[in-house]
Amino acid sequence: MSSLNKIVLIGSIETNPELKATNAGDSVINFSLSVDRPQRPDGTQGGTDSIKVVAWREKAEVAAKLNQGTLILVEGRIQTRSYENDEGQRIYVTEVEARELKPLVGSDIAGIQTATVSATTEPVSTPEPTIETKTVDDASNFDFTDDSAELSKPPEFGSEVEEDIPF
Amino acid sequence: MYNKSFLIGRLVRDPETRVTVSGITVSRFTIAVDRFKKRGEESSADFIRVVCWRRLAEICGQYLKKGKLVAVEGPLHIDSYEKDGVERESVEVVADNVQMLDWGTESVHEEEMTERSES
Repeated sequence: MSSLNKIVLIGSIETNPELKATNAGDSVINFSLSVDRPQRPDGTQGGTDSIKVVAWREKAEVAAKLNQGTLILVEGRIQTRSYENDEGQRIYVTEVEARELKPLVGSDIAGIQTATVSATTEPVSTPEPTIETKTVDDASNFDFTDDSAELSKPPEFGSEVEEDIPF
Repeated sequence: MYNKSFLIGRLVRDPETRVTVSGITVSRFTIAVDRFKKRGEESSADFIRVVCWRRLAEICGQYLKKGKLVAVEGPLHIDSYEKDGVERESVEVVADNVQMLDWGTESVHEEEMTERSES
């Protein structure tokens, strides 16, 4: 089923975030982000939203280095969950799970700029170039008398050879 | 400061639409937004409350029904209120744009149900 869940926030960190670890060893951090609403048409301040944010693993490590008042960008998803408190009441929580955390201007904390973590920037191993050895065998008209150094590279076939490839 | 969310989900139940004492129409509904599911995992969803005002609320109250797929765009607002002497918090997306993504079987209009709220 099609679905989309995305939120972008710019706000300041309300309290110094505290890094915790789950039993499984994952680091997690919770903090509130203070986001001012736009001014009302009459020029008065529109109020402030205090939005709960949760970040995991590398993103939690980044957030742990940030101080109260730091202006950051948070991109993530809105998550709802519930738990039972000590009095047996069911508590419903709506919070933002951060996919990306980026300190903005004025938050020149050493190392933060480079430590900014995006879930999408995980190292991607470049796939080994696949040489279709079978095709090379089939290409009987390939000139093997050529400079042998050429053979270390995948040979470039003429268009007539490409037509022979059975797919 | 910036605050904007983009959601696509299905209405969990019919919207509740009413008119405030000052004469402004307000419509509230909850949408279920499917979570990304890995193979073998059970499907789950986030249930996100949406509120819209004025003309948009009238349209939502008129056309939205339980099970309809909608796209919602707007800021996430946190408001605190008191109920039975206990301080509570409401967390909802204030829709400034709602689009219906399936018209279902009773499709009569081709028109887009998009309406910018005045706020």
